[in-house]
Amino acid sequence: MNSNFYPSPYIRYRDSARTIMQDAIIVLLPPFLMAWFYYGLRSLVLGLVSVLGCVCTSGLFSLLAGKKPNPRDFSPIVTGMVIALLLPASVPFYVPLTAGVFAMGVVKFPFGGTGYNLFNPAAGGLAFAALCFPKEIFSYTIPLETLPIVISEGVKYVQSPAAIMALGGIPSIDTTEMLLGNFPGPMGATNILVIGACLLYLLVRKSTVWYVPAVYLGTVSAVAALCGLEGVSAGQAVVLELISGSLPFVAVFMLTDPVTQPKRPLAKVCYAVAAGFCTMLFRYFGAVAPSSIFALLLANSLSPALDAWAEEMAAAGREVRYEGK
Amino acid sequence: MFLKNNNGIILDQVKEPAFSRDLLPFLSSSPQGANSWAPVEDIESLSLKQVMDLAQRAGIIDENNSKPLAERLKKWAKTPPTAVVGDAIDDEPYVSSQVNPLLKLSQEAAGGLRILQKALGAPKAYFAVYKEMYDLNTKVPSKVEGFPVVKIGGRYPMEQRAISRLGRDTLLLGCGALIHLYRAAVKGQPQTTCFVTVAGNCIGNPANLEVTIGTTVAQVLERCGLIQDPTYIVSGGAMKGKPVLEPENTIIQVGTRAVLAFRENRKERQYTCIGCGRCLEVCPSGLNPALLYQALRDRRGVTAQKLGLSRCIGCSTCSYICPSKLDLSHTIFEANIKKKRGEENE
Amino acid sequence: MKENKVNRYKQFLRCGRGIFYKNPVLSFGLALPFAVVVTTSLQSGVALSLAALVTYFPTVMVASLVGERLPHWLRVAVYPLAAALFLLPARYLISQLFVTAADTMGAYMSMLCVSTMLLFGVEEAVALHSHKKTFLYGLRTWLGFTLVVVLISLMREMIGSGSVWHTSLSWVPVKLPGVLVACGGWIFLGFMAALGKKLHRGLLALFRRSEEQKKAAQKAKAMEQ
Repeated sequence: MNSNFYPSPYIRYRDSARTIMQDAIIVLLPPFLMAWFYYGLRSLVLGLVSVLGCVCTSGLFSLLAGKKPNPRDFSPIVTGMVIALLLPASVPFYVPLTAGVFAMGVVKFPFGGTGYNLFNPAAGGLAFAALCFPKEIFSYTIPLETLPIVISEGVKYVQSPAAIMALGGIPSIDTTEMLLGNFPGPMGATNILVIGACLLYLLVRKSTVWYVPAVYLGTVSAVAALCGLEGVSAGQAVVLELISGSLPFVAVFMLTDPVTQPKRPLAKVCYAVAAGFCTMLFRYFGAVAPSSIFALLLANSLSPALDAWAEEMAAAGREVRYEGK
Repeated sequence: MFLKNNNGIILDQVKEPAFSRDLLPFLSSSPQGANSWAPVEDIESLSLKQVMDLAQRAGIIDENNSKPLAERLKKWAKTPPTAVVGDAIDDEPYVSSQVNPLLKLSQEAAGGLRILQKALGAPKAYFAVYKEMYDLNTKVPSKVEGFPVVKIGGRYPMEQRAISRLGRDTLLLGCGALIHLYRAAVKGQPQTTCFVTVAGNCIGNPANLEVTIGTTVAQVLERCGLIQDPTYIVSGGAMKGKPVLEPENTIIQVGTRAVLAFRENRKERQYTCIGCGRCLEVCPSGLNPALLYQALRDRRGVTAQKLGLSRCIGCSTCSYICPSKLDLSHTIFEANIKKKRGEENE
Repeated sequence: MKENKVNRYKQFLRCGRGIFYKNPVLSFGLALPFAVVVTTSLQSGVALSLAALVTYFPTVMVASLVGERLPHWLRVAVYPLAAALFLLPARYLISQLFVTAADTMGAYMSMLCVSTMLLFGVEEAVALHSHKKTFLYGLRTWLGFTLVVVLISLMREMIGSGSVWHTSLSWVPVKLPGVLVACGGWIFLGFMAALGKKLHRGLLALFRRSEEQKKAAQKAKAMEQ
């Protein structure tokens, strides 16, 4: 009978880092299924290419850093899936590859790898791709028209509602189309119902807190209601802003990423407000770009400062509580 | 210590089957009565000084903090407490070494409580039991020999919170100490035994035992039977216990509430911190365990102190919930103890 | 000092301090905006280094000549003024040699008068107390700056526009204009600094290992005898 020295506790919770990342992968599969329904097999091929690119780059950089690549670390897979879902289905294959290589090689590994990255790698990769290939990222196709795997000449491109609104127009979509995602937009970001279901799954599995997406959407709605769009009522303006572009996807999947979020509840709320505000600023005053992604990157840069501030508030609160006893 | 009441975790209190089984004796040799004394006639008429004398002669130790009972009673000599409480709060999983004697030796426990209540002149007396135990075969009664049983609810860690919740002027004593006090008064015997739970997935017959102080851990494990080779042998609870490296040479003392033996597959590779923030949500002291762990690993002691290192109570909730299975609580609490020892030496 | 590879390598670095060792851009972080914003094409990079030569080098020599005799409060005004005077021929030179580079550089050409490399270099010049040493120092620092600027602008133009000196290359598979934005420039600079450090450490390790092997071989030979 011999026991080695293992410190307490001797029972552990059933969730591990692997199950958390598995959850993230599971929750990203329904948008892929909807994309397959709308755009054909190409969407799945795009996802595969993106994931492979991220995984290979991540393995390469692990070797460069002198560590053995960890096959149980699923975060490159998650990043690859997120990148693919925020691109139009007709995008050429080098776009997600560029985004993936940039995400892993510049945004994630130089900052310390899994768990230590300052910016969301998928958001960083997409921002770089948006700077490099602005035309390809904003040409969307009409849903329910199957795309060939190799894009040929006969594909029609349209603009997304976000682009139409930026130019001052009003997109005409009716409610069912809106909920089911039957309008042009990024591959995974149009299906509001599916994204709502994924949000419920994440909440139930306790991968995220409810107030971060709620405060974000609330800020965006408030600003949209106050500023409004020409020619529509405030309510319609709010709805149009909320469903267009990559906003619903970012609100549910990328804003809630635990690594880049601040850790204390007070800091999380401020983070969500900042992200919402920046999104609307980008929408009104910025050049045509994926506004929620850039706003997310800005908010990510704020999160260490917000965390340090909230940590000081918590320490002050502790002193007050212990003073009393 | 005033802790935030809504933090912590609800644990699976795997207390059966040891909870409902009878309290089994495991005594080495019956004490020959070399230093026994005449039993007291009327236990209800003892004064506080007489009770303290009795406790000192019998060498009774409170199992919650391993302090002699006589010393604990010294504080209440001038002002009586508002209530005397028999502590049967077993908030760690597998451990039931205070509740089980309360239920099986209820007459002795109630007798001990009555002695103290009359000696201290406290207006109220009751037993406190942990509420969040859901998988029990026997129901915890609402009264034990006339004393009410108050169920204290709340998340783990509960035992330290109970002290603040029940108020500063209540006297909280372990049920084991009460039982031995009664025996000292009525039978004239010193304390030679203590109550220990033996459980875990390697134990064939988990049970609560009354063992002679000084029995080795190996003997106790043999008594209850090992069905697998254990990966950990723990003295204490599953969350806060200490590992036992040499069962043949480790003896059981009054403060050892349990001996547990687990077998677990340790092949899960340790990840680095993924920054999920769960340790923050569950810390009852409101600390940031991930930041503290990082600061201690980088040997930044001043930063660690600013983050509240001295407030850590060592409840191990952060290590429990960490998905990367890091040893957060061990690192932080050990650093805390080292700092306190360093301060005492100066 | 023992005559071996490691020490010879270190001596080489020390002689050329300012070029590889103690590089103004990569080690001290001076003149960063120029290295990041202006270097979007090889032509701009070369123009920048020429302009820097005509403004920085003479100002440093001026500092060495008169700097000690001026009181501190006057020096602060004299150095940028001297640099601004030398900017006039620099501007003329650039506009004659490169047609568009002067426009792309824009305000950064004028900012060369107050670049941190200049402000750092003039005080170093005064501290050296020797005209010959200042001459060599100015030359070496300028060479270090040029090395970094030319390398960065070459790579950025190749990756970003798929061309070298404004002539397209045919074998570039894809163009990434994201590298030409200021953000991409900062990232490039960071990676270059990291690569430089890795190269230095790799060379040191290589030389050390070859020295150890030589020593081990010598010991084995001595044991045999």
